[in-house]
Amino acid sequence: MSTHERDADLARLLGEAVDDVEPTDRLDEIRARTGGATTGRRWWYAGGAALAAAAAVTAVAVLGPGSAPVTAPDPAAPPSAGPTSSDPSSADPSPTATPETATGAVYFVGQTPMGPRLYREFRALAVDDSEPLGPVVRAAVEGVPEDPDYASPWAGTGATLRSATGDDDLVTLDLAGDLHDRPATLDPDLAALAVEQLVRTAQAALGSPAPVQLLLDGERTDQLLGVPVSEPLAPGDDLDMLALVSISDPAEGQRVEATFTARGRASSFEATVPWEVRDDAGAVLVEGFATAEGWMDRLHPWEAEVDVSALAPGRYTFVAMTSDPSGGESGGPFTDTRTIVVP
Amino acid sequence: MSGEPRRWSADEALEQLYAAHWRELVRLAVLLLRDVGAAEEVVQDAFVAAHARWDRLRDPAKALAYLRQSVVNRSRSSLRHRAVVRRHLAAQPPPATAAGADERSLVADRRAAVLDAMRALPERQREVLALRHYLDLSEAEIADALGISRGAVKSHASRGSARLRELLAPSLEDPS
Repeated sequence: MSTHERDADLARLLGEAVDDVEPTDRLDEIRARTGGATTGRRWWYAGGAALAAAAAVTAVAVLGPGSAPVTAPDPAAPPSAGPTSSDPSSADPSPTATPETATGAVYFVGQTPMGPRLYREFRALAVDDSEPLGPVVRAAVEGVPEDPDYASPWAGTGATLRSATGDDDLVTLDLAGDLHDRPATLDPDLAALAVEQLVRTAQAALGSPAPVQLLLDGERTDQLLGVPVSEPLAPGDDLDMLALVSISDPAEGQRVEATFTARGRASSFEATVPWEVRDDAGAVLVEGFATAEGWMDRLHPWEAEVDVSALAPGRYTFVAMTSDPSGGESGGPFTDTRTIVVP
Repeated sequence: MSGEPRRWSADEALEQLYAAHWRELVRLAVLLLRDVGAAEEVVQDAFVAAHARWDRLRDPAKALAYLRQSVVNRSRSSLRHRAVVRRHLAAQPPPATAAGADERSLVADRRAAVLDAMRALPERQREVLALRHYLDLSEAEIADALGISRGAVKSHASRGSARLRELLAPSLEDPS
């Protein structure tokens, strides 16, 4: 039997295995989720205008501290991107975590009133003892965020991760792909965030502020996506790079209990983090606020008990916000959202 | 970014892609996940994400490639999430999935055997086989969808095919 015939055999068996699957029609459900009922969720539509305006603001911040070469990392500096003790979902993304899978923090890009910034998404990742940093950094380079509000600037660049190694002195990430120059379709600020995304994801996985050396096809390179990366990089300032509020729990699409604990990080005026549960139409059904452990210097952990026991079963949106004392003059509050399912 | 005329709005693209590919992508996800409900969830999420990204995808071929990639990645996440959940439930026996086993036909048996065999394969092999034999994608398209080299596609395909044949030897010998 020729290879072709044998392959045809497998194709027939696989086709048959699912030819009785008639999925239910979910177009209405999909439309309901894409209908723009919750304004602000469809930020990629903003397209050129919003991103270009943001570029002018963030390019400075990004190309400043974000890409500054570091020769002597400050050992006293805490790993700003590292998991914090108040994020139990972060478990322990180090190689000593439970076998098979562990929860890792992966940084992705999302829209904010200050332009695109980084959000942190927790996800279950396979543990690879031979390459502890591999799965989490690979998710940042090659993966798709679970939250539809986030995106990866690496998507569409064809980038792959060859290897990720490191210790407290230096992290080395080796990428492959046609990545030297910035593609014309990629905004410069997003290219810079792409690099920042890897620096922070790797440092969080390692739990160390070790500088990050990026390689292209095993070699040092003067630039990656047009961003200078010849020297080891330190992350930029939290308050310049990160969305000022982010949700760690619940995860996107998570089924929640009648009362659940939401957690995250924020730098919000007077440490106040308002939150809401909204329905498809954007109506606020439950609201409250959390008090973070601090607010001025960096992002601090917050936690809120959310009672959804009065809600009918269905999909809702949990929203955490920064407090905006200017009443919108400074562009409005930062937000992070999660779809939650009340069973 | 504004001067270019677009054939479809995001909503139109969503409907066209849904009409043409919803069933096929759910079936693809069933080959990866086995569970139909989970497969629908994954593909639904992929459509929502593709809609949100239409401004960057713009052309239907790219959108379809994105959908496939997204279905594969989300299926992988879903399996891993389930692996975590399973560990928490380790003490409990697995739910009976073979209800009415005595009434199942030969074809139904073979379907179950194929889906079981797919689940028994390593992740990458399963993905490559599904994309190659079910969606009939080329090596280059699979390489793009999975973000791996064509050489890796080739080796996963040949190892996966061999392993799948081994697991399905009875069905392949008697394909009536």
